[in-house]
This record gives sequence, C-alpha cells and structure tokens, in this order.
Amino acid sequence: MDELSQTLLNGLVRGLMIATLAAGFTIVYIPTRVFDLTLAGVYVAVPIVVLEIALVTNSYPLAVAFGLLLGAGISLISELASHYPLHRRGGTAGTHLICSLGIYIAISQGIVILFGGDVKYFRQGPDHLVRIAGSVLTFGQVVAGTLSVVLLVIFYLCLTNTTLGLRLRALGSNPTEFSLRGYNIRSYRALASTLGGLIVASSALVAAYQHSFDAYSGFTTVLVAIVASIIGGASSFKAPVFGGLLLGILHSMVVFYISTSWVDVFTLLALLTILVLRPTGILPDST
Amino acid sequence: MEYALHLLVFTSLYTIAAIGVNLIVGYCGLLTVAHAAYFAIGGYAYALLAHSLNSHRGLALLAAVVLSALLGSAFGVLSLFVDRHMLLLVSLVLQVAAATTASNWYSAGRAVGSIWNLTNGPFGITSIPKPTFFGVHFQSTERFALLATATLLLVYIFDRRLLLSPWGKVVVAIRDDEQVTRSLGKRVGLVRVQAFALASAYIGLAGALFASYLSYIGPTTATIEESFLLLAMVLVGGAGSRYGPLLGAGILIALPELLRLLQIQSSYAPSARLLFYGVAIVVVAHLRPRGVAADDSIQST
Repeated sequence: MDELSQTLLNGLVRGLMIATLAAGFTIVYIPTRVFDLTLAGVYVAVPIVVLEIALVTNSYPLAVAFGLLLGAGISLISELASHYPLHRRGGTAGTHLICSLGIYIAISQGIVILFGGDVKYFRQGPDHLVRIAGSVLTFGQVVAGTLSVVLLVIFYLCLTNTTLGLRLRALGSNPTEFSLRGYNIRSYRALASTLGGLIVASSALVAAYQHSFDAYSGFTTVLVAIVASIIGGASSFKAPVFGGLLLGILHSMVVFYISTSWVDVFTLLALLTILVLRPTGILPDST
Repeated sequence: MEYALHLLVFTSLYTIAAIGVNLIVGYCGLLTVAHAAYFAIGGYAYALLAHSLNSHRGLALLAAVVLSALLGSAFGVLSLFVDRHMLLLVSLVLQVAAATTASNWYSAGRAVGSIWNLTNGPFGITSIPKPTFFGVHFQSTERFALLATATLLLVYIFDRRLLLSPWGKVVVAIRDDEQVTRSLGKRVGLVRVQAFALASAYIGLAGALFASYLSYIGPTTATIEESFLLLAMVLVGGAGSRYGPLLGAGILIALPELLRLLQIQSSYAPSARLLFYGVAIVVVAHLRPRGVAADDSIQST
C-alpha cells in the first residue's frame, strides 16, 4: 500500500506538470485547431536561455522574467510570421503542423549551436525530502507540483470564467461567424499564441527546477503533453488536466512496476486506445 | 574514388527510402514521420536473420522487407481510423516509441536476438554480413555500390510502372478526393493499406541494405532525426513528383559535403544540417500551403 501511494503521489506530481504543458498547447489548439509544435521549441529554449542569463547577470528573477517574455515572444512571432499567413492562404492542418515541426527543429538546433547540447541543471546535489502522509517527495517535486497547480488554476479560471475563453472557443468553432461579429481573428490568434507561449515557458521552468534539461529531451516531453491533450479531449479547457493526470499516473506505474525505458511505448498504447475507442477524447467539450 | 562510391551507396539507399516516403506523403497525401521506424525494422530484421540464415542472406533480405511491410500495413489500417493531422501526431509518437524500443530492448548476458535482448540496446548489432545473390558476393565497396544502384533502378522502375497503372491512379484519386473515389466503387481502405505496405517495404529494403553496408545497426537509425531527414528529402525534392526523391536525397546527402567546404566546425555540422532541414521544411510548407503534395491533382473546372 505504501508503494502504491508513493507511486500515485509521484504520478500526481508528474501529471500536474504534464497537464500544465498540455494546457499551453490546448489554449493554442482551441482557437486555431493546430497543435503548434513551435511550443516544443519554447519548452527547449527557455530554461537554457534563463540559465545562461542567470550565469551572466547573477539574477535569477531577471533571467526568469526574460525567459517568460522570450517564450511568449517566440510563440507570438511564429504565429504572426508563419501560422497566420498560412491560415490566410488556406493552409491545411497538416501544413501548419509540419511547418511548426520545422520551426521546432530550427529552434532546438539553433540552441544546440549557440549553447551546446549538454545536460544542464538549475540545482545540483541531493534534494531535501518532504514527508506527506507516509510518502516522500523531494523539495523539487513539491515546488513543481505547487506551481503547476497555481498555473492550472489561473489558466482554468481565466479561460472558463471570462469572455476571453468564450471568444477563443468561438473562434475555433466558427471563424467566419466570429469575424462577421466584428472580432479581429488575427488579434485573438496572436493573443492565444502569446498565452500559450507564456504557459509553456512557465511549465518548462517549473520542470527544469525539478530535474535536468537539454536541447534534445524536450520533444518527447512535449509529445506526451500533446497526447495528454488528445486523450483528455483537445477541444476542452479542462481536458488537458484530466489527460495529464491520467498519463502522469500511468507513467509512474510503468516506471515502478515495469521499467522507465518503456514509458514512451505505453504513451503510444494509451493514445492508440483512446483514438480507437473514443476519438473525441475522454472529456470532450460539450458545447 | 572510395569516398565517391561511399557517397553513391548512401545516396542510392536514401533515395530508395525517399521513394517510399514519396509514395505516402506525395501520392497518398498523408503526412507521417514514422519512416525511420520502418528503416530500422528492415535493418534490425536483416541483421538478426542474416546471422541465423548465413547461407540464405537473400532470404533474410526478403524477410526484412516483408516485416517492414507488415508494420507499414498495420499503420495503414490505423490511418483508416484517424484523421489526417492526427495521423501525423500518432506517427510522431510511434516513431519515438520505436526509437525507445530499439534503445532499450536489451538484457546484459543474454544472446543478441533472443526475446530478452532483441536489439542489443544502445550497443546495436555488429558484424552484419553483406548479402549474396546467386553466388555473387558484395563485399567490396565497388560491388556494393553496383548493388545499391541496381536496386535503386529496379525500385524506381517498379514504382513508376505501379503509379502509372490503374492502381496508381486510384492512389492519386484517393489523395485528390477520397469521397468521389469511394463513390466510384473503389476500395479506398484496401488501396491505402497496400500503399503503406509497399512504401514501408521500400524503406525497409533500404534499411536492410544500409545495415549490411555498414555491418552495423543501432538505435540511432530509429531516431526522429532520421525521419525528419527522409521527410525533408521528399519535401525539398518535390513530394508527388517523379524525380523528387532523387533530387531531395542528392541535395541533402551532398549537404554535409557543402558544410565541409564552408569549413563549418565538425562538432556543429550535425546541428547545422538539422537546422537546414527545419528551415527547408518551413519554406516548403509556405510554398505549398494547401498541401505539400506536388501539383498532380485534378484541376477543377
């Protein structure tokens, strides 16, 4: 029972981090109907740039602020320079996806050329342990989990209880009607991309606080977040939370009972199962 | 001369793989990135079977192609259940899972090829024998270059004949308008699965020959970067076009040589190469926003 509760607690923390990342993708997906893999480039670039700036300026708050701006900026520029022009020219969803994949490759390899591909850390050495109801979490896990909850609450409250969230869903549902009602599609798409970049940058920094990071491992993490979003039901704001928690617990179980090496295979199996049995996701948007 | 032959072998083998990718991306109009998985399956299957069937290496090559085709047809069946842009995401996850499996199916102390140690994990499989056909051995670089080029020629001619046949026209019709093709009584699902099987057979064949040429296959063959390379070859050369795979493979295989001429530091060269692929993909996507397949579509009146 202790092992099970420990595994579940680890899965919960991991799931919250996946959910936060998935929320960033969802906020871009809902109005644009595109899984923007540029955000994977944001996830990879932000922690590395923050570390480099912190080493130069000796100020982590300044570096973090710059990193968040950088994440939002990369996503905004990608939307204005690439995705919106493609949208105006009738670009298919596949073209958007493949274009964003190209942007991710360019960003990640640019980071490797500028800062190297070696593994980096914000913190080193053994971490403090925190006991919670018979289980043990590291201090990094507690911080990551807490910050993830805060980000998710802000994300959920802002987007489900405000007209902004309603308008973003309206844009995704019927862009023509949305435009005819006098709303500027370009502005709302740009706003969604900026918010998505901000959330993904925050999520990347939270994850980097807990464990190491490099220019290569971000892609797999981001794919897991996209799978969480799909499993939950990509058209809903609450779905990434559910999908993230589910995948986090699944990963934790696989790591404990099987092996950490096979986590990606189980992610694929979970995705295939949902796509075949319930293609709209477990909690699709009911509107 | 030896180096030129080596480049010729690489270009030929990657062109064979690119012909397979072109069939899926260009002619079927389906964007996927699981190509390196088929490439690796072909390589690993040949490596394991060639050791077991030492005197029947041609049979090992055939079996490797068939195994790749089976994986491809399974993915083709999956493509019938998911929409196009979700298929790209599924193929991404499949590719990552394939790379993980190649890296981690390892157990120390167990025989390579056994159920506990199928791929030998990060160490890969070495001492892979080169194929032998009708008593002719292809040990030297010159002979292997001849084999690779001849195989490319055969695959190219076969592929062209197939695409010009009624089956090929149905494939293109499905890409252009699946509903109309279905309404004309064509078995869309079956043709798509056949196309996936054929494409992955080409890619698996390239992978098997690649493994035999290097006498080594490892998990680096199954990485997402290899898939990006194959996709970039097709997109740069022109998806759905007759000479696209050859053009794309030629340009992208020659690229590292260009980087050498520009005196790009060797430690940066792999990243510079991938950076170029990424930019190439973005440029091609913007040049063809309505779909990266080439303009073989039926013109509307």
